Amino acid sequence: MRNVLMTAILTGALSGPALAQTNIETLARTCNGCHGLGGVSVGSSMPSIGGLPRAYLARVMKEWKYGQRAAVTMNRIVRGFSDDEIDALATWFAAQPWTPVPQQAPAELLALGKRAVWTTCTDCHGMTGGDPDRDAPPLDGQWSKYMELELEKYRSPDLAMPHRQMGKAVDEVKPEDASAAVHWFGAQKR
Amino acid sequence: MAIARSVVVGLLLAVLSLPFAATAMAENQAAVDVEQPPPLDNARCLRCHADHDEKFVVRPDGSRHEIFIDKTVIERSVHAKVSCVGCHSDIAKLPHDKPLSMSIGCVSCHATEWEKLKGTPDAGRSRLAKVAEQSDLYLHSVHAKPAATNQSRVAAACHDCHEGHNVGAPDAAQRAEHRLKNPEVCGTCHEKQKRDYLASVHGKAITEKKDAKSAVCSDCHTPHDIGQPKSDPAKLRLAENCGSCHKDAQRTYLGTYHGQVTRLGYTNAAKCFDCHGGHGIAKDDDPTSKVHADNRLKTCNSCHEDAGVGFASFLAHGDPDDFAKYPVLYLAKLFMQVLVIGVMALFWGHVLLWLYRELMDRRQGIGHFENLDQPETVYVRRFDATWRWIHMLFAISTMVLALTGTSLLFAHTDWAKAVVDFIGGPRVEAIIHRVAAVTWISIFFFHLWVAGANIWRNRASFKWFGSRSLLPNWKDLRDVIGMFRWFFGLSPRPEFDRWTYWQKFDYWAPFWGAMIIGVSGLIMFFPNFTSHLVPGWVFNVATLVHAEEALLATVFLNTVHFFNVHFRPSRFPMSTTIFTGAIPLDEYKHDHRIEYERMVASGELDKHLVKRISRRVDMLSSFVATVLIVSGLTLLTLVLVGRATMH
Repeated sequence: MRNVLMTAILTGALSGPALAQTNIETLARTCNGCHGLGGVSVGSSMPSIGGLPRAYLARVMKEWKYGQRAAVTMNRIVRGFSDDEIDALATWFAAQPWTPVPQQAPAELLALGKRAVWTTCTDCHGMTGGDPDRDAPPLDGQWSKYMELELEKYRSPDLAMPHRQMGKAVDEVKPEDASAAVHWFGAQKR
Repeated sequence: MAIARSVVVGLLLAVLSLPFAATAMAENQAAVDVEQPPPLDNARCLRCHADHDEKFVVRPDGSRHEIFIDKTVIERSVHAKVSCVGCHSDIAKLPHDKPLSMSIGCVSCHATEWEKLKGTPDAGRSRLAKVAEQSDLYLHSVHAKPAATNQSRVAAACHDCHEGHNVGAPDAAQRAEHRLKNPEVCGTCHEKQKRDYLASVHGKAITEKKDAKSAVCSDCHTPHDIGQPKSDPAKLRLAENCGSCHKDAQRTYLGTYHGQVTRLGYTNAAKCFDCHGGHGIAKDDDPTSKVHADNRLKTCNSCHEDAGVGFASFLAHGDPDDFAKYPVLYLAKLFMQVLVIGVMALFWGHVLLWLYRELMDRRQGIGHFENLDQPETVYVRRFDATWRWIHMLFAISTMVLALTGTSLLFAHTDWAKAVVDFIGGPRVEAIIHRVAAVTWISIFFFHLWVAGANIWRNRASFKWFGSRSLLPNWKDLRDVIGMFRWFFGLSPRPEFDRWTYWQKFDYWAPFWGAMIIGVSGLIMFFPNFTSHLVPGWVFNVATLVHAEEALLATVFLNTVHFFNVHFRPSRFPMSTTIFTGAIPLDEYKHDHRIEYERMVASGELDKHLVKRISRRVDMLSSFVATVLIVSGLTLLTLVLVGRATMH
């Protein structure tokens, strides 16, 4: 984590005209530590980001940068990037293929999760999470642990999570159903 | 200890509740089939679209769009029971495409629903018939054509004008609200027209006085049957629609030449907006109004380039039934109506009594009968060629005048429209009417000249009240009394000289007609010229008396004159004397016995006797008489239909 922070701080310090020519691939490489090569995460609490929609990525990073979205780490990291660099990173990661990492879960949990998705999540993310709305992320094969952590943030009244529709959906659904839903999504492959 | 007891109780409860929980879960799961996509019900749509705190979305191009739908509005609308995807039928799943295509098939859906309902007992109560009719009008309107700026879409689709989620039932509050928004809705595209409208008397009544009855766009232009503004159907519809509110103005307008031409379906003459203005219409006392006293002549000049000041005082909405406002028109109409009713009552009474008496006499063998065993071979020359041609041209030109004139007067009838269409429209009609008028007047003056020359030539021996004179004399008065006595069986039928009193009436009537119809006709013949000489109300009076007198002449000639000459039993079905010039001697003796006896006594008769007319001439004259009589009766029928249906 320290390395990541250092990289981010160094990158931020070097931002400006000198960085205008910075190879975006080099910059994206700085994210590999947490988000994996090509944005395919190997840590269950870190999301895969390769292949997420460009608009989603850019919006979320800017929300962190300007303090509109709660985060522990990412808000500090992205503050080191200019908006142009954020856009460039979003473009780069959006261009990567979405690579689901299907995770195993008990059949009962998956059945419960499917039901919850059917009633609550599918309108924006699709039944498998692989057919999302234009500004929603795909969730098929996303890390379920990461998704649970995100749901926690939505449930916490002290944390700013600006997506109202997602907030409403989380309010509507029981926590155990939501938890089952993320396991359903996490188990999907494309 | 307490904790341990709680755990035990909890476990017991959990174990006991397991079967119930499993059952509940099974029931819950059975309620939905998660293998199928969730149904596209409205609640799912409204989760995003009914969010009061997030009414707008920003699209990737940075544009901001309202996605908010007020649930209560939909619930109050006529489509409350229609699902969102019932109209947004291209949404097959959620999440849906963004932006959503606007391929909403209002027309096809309504048509399909109407097809299903047609012929069922509920069809009569359904609004769908009206919707289908309006849809059809829309499909033929200019709004359903490709937009000028973007050929891939129509100029205006249903949802461009109707608030898709807020369509109210008739008399519902939404309707009233939507009506007041009408100028704004149309003004989205028609910006200049909206600006002009909002500054007009109609627009101000809506915006300043909140008068919901004031005209909005769709009142004049219709909601769906929108045509190209320069097209004739659109212009005519506009003129017609003004009358929806301004009933009196329309009624009086339709009584004028302008209104008659418009009613016939032609746009040659001024329509409401030509004089009053369109979108920017102002009250006539407003100095900006096109019909304000200071601007009126200029407005007239836009069509009548050389019009004189008389045009400005023309009573474009003069009402002969309104004595308080238009006393001269009222009195003129009253005079003409008394004249028409008086003359017709007198002569129709004369006709009926004559018919009755002659039928009664003939049953007893009294009167003139054709001897079939010995057909008449001797005829008396009664009219020379000049008078026969004069009568023929007079008859034809009078009928042409009556037909072309009454097809304007009765512009509301289908026959008038058919006649005017057939002859090529009001311009051609005006030319034909004028040619016939010139012919008629020329004959009239030619006759005066010939008669005057004859009198002058025979001035030494001419007796003004002699036996051959057409001037009324005391014997005519005695004959009138004598005829009425005969009608009532009090004395035998009087005997007549060369001219009977009804023939003299027929002769002198055109003098009166020439004065009334001729003078009024001349005023209207050259309106630009006469408007420099006479005030505008003279045109109103001229139009009124011209029409009434023409009606009198048409009805008189085709009923009373036809009876006196052709249809009375001793002459039925026709007399051809005016076409051949010759009258059978027997008939001559019966109808003009005094002249006959005088000529026999003086030995003059032989000079006037002619041989029986040839069969060919007889047939030809019968044919001509038949054509004229049938034409006259047809004209009479048309005029009576027109008069009876006039309103």
